[in-house]
Amino acid sequence: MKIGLIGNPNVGKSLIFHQLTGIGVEVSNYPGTTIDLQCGNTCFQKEMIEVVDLPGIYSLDGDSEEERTVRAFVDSGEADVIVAVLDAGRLERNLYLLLQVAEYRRPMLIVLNMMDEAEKSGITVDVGKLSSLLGVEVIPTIAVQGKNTCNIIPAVLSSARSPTVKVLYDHHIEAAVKSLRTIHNLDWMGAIQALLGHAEDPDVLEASSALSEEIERIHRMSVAQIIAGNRHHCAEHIASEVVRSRPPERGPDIDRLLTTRIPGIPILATILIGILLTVFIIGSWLEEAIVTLIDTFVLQPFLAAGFPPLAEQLGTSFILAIQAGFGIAFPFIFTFYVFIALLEDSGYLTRAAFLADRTLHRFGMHGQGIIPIVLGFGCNVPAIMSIKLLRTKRERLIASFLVTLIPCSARTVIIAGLVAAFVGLAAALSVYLIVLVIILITGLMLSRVTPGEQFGMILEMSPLRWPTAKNVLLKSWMRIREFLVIAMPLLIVASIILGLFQYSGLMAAFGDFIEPFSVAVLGLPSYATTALIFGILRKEMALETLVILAGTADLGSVLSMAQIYIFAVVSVLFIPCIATIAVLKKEIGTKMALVVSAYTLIIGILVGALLNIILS
Amino acid sequence: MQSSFREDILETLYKEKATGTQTTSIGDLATLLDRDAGELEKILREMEKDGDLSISPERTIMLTPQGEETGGKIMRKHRILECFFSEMLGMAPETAGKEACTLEHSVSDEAIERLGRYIRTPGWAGPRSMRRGKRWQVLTLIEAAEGEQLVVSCVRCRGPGSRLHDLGLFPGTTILVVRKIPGNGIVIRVKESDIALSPEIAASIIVERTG
Repeated sequence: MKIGLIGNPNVGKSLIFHQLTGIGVEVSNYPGTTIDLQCGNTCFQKEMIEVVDLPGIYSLDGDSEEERTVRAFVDSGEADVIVAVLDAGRLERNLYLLLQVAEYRRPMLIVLNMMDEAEKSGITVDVGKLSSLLGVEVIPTIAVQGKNTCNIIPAVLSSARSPTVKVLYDHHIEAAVKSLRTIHNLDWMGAIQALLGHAEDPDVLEASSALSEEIERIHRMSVAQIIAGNRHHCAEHIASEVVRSRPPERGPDIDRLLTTRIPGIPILATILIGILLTVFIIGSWLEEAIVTLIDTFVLQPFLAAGFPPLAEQLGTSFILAIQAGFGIAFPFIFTFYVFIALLEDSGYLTRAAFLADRTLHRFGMHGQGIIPIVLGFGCNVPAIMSIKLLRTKRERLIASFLVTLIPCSARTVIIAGLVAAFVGLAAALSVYLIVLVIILITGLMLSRVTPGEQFGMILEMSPLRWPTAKNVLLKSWMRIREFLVIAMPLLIVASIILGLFQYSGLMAAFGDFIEPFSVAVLGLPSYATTALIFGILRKEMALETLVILAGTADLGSVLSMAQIYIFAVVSVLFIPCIATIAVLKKEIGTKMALVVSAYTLIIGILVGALLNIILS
Repeated sequence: MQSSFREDILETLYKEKATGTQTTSIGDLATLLDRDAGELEKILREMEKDGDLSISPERTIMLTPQGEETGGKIMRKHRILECFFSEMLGMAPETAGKEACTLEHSVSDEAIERLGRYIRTPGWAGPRSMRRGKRWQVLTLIEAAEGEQLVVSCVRCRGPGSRLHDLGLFPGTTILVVRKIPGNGIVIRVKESDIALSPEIAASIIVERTG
């Protein structure tokens, strides 16, 4: 048996899914975080039940990726029962989608979630009446507290049935549906879909488009608008029958503080900078602890064991990769994810998006673009993965350029470990400044040249609520797991390749080859450029390789301050790491991934050469 | 009957004045309205008390500003209805005029405003033509102030427009402007949920003030 969970974004669908299946799926307070279909199994009275969590959508008719995915799922009839999750506090809007789903006349069950929040805002819903109006069993729940969610599966098995609710359509629409049904032998749903332009058969499509043109001429409104209007009307009618509201209890208006220019924007800046600093402090503390642990308990015993040289080299590379993964990625990125999850679950992220909308607009993006940008400071890989939240291809393209330029935590390690340690704090900050200026210029330029239309932001604001520790940690854990699955194999492969290069002496040969270019353009000794190139495998690897190749950890004794500075700037700017390139390829295609990489390479070398001229 | 007859009087006087007749005597008016002069005078005296008009010692009638406004409004209603019946529904001009004479007293202000807008541009009444007149309280959402309650009259958005429909922004929906940052976006409350919009999206949503 298979059941599908359907509903608007941000109604607690993912949380209910998690409670039904027990596997940790992401639970999000940001509209549209679940893009892929999440599946899980649960067992009830010895029957295996597969649960599918569909992406949150507002309508079945649109042509966004999520809407198409859900439509295909419902069309296919895969699910034996469709469970619609509704937000009790926003019943009318939620009913709009429900009425569309109800037209499929499949066995359904309705979960009326967020009863607690509805009550807090003074809304009560007559559950019995709603159930009788729709002709489907309705189960009220409070998913955040796990209240009543245990009754969903038993109800699915015992009382799921086809809804009886019927939307009254305009008589022209009804007439058109009737004629399509008699001539082309379609069912009711097929005829409506054909009128909306969703049909396979060219004959049907031709007939339906002639009919809809006729209707459009009479109404001076598109068929889609008329149908949507009728559905809204029906939803409004049902809601007015079952919803009783009294004025909500007025608390202090925190929302006002967060979404006005003053103090909203200073608060936003404080929160973002605060998060970056905290992540850096907690991250470096954890990093040191983990790296020391692996060093003393794994690496030293391994080296002491005395394996043959090749095996020792490979083993060392492998351990180093694990160390990098858990010692750098884990402390920084996990801490970062915890903060992001806090921002999401509290509903602040949508407010940040609202405030940032205008600024990002100059760079050809919209408010939603703040998410990949903020994530980018932690690690570019999840930041690039999050660009699918942006609606247009144009925005996604611009975002991927900008995100790859943002100094992630690995690059922060280089800036801190090299420039701050050997040159000074002011110089370290100036590296950030250079990167920031380059990001700004790139954004301004891209917003002019990138093809495609620019639409504005339409974003539902999540209600402000207290995030629960359990949900925040769960979400962070799910994300770090996803990150490790993508990045860990790449780290290990990259590290082993690097080890083999060192072992076979190719590294030295490469150094000789790059020498003239390195000295003339960047003013760096050849081994520094070699280190830079190996930074592609892992950004912070540039620093480690530099130390190995220079033969000393006191880099100040072998390189001038200008050289250290140039090395840091170039390694921060040029070519994203291999894991970032891999996700870029997945999200925006091979060609654009190469263009982005080439762009950063050119920028890195140009800025490096320029600094070389200025500083020497 | 009484009030509609009074409205007829004001309308006739307004029409007379508009055609250039400076003064109208009670006798002239009685002929125009096909009424008995004595009976008419009684009503006119009452209307004088109510401040709609003034009667000079020479028995000529002058409209007060208040009376002029009422008369003008009635005449406008008459014209719009007459135009609608004859031009758009194809009725004979005389019948259209008679029909308009009866309906002009009972039709609501809102219905006539909407009808007028419909006649000017059937199907869709653009914002520009409305703003020129300043008679209609029609504006784009971007012009609305924080805290205002508005009714959506039209969503002209390309591309993401259908998303707005799905969220419930439909002609006739009541919305509240929750937050507005000048030069930045706007947050509106539609069907109990808050939705943030970019200015360019807000500019393509036409709304009406209800108050």
